[in-house]
Amino acid sequence: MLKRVSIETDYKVAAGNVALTVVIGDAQMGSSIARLDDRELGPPGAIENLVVGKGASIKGKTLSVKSVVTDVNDMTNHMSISYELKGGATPQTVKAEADVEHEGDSVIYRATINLVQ
Amino acid sequence: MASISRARTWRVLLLAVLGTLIPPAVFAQSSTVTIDDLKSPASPGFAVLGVEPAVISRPTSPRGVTLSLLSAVRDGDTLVPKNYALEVAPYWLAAHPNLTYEQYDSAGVTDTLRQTASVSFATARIPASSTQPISTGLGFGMRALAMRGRPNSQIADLTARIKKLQADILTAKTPQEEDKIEADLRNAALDFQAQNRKRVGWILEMAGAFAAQYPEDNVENARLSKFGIWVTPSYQLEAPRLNASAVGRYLRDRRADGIDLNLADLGIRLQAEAEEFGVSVEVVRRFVGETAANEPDSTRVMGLLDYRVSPDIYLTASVGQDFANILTARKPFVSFLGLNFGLSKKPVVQLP
Repeated sequence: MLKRVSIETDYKVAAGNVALTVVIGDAQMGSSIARLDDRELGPPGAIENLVVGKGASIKGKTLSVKSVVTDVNDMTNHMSISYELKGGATPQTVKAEADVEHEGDSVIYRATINLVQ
Repeated sequence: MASISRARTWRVLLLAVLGTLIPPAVFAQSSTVTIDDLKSPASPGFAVLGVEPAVISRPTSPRGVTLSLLSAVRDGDTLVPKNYALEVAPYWLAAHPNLTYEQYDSAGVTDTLRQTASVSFATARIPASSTQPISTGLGFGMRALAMRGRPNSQIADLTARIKKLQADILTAKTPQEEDKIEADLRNAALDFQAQNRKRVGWILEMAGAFAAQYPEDNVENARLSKFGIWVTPSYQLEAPRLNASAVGRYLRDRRADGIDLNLADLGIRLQAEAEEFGVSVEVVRRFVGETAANEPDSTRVMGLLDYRVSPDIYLTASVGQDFANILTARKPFVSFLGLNFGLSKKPVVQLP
C-alpha cells in the first residue's frame, strides 16, 4: 500500500496573481497535479510558477495539490517536497517529508491550501 | 534454436575435455594482481584492514550514527569497539529539500564529490602470531566519485515510464486504484536505479584509507600498518560497448614480521563487448620501492576473451606475461582456459 502524507495550511492572498511552484527534493522524482476547488489547473507533471489566479478571484477557494514522489535515488530513502507560494501578502513555503522503507517505493502527498484574505 | 544451443554446449564440452589433455604448464592459472584488484575498493576502510564484516552498520541520520557508535562502545569493555563496521554517506545524513533530481544528475565536480562520498570504518581483533601479540586493528577509509558520467540511453525511456505511472496515480479516483499501480511504479523505479548505475562517459573514482594496529590494546604501541590511495578513471562508450579504464594504486604495507612493502601500480585496460563476446587487453606496471624485499619493478600484460555459451555458462581464456618472479626474476608466460557456471537468480525451489 502506498504511503500517504497530508498537510493543510492557509495562504493570505493580495491583489496580484498567486503562483505555485512544487519542488521535489532529495534528488527524487515526482509529478503533481493542482486543483482550484474542483477545477484542474493543468495536466499532471512538474509545477513551476503555475498561476493560480488573482487574489480577488481566488479568495475563499481551496488550492489542492496531489503529488507522487518515487524513490529513484539509491543514496537515500528520504523524500522532501516543498510548496512555494508567491504573489500573496508574503511569499510562503510549506514543506513535507517522509521516508520510504524500500528502494523504489513511492509516497502520495496531498496539500490543502486555503486561500484567505 | 535448440540445435544451435546444443552445438555450442558440445563445443564447450570438447574444449573442456581437451583442456584435461593439454600439459598443465600451458594451463597454469595466474594468481597475481589483475586490474580489477587495483580498482578503488567499495569500502576502503574494510579493505585496508583486510576484513569483510558480516554485519555493517549503515545509519542514514546523525542520530543513527550516534546510536550505532554508542551501542558498539556499550557492548565492549573499552572505548574502541571490537569487530565493528560502519559505513556512512555523510552528505545524505541530512535532508536536501531543494536538491532536484536534475541538479543532482548534472552536478559539477565539487558537488559530485560531496554527494558520492562515503566513509568506512572498521575495527577487528587480530590474533597473536609469532611476530606480534594479540592486537586491535582499526581501518578508516573514504571513497568518492569526482565525475559520475551521464545517464545511458535507457534512462529517458524509464523516466517517461515513471512519469506515466505517476500521472496514472494522480488521476486515479480511489485509493484502491492508486495502490494497484504501486507495483509497476516500484519496478520502474528499480529498473531506473539499476540503469543509473551503468552510466556512460567519463567516470573518475578516488579512494584513500589507512589501517593502524594497537598491540595488546595499548595506545603507546600504536603503529600505522597500512596506507593506500586509489585513483580509477574510465570512459564508457554505450554503442558499441567499449570501455577504456586506467587504475593507479599506491600501497604501503608495514607488516609485523618486518617486511615493509612500498608498492605503486599503474594499469590500463581496453575492453570491448558484443552480444556473446567480450575481449580485453590489460597492462599493469608495478613499481617497487626500496623498502620492499628485493622485488623488482615488473610488468604484466594479459589478453582476455569471454564467450557466452549460454545465459549461465561462460568460456574464459587469457594469455600473456605475468609479473617477474621475485626469486628468479623470470617473466612467466601465463595462459588460462576455463568455464564459468553462473548461478541462476531464479530459485528452483519455490520459497514458502
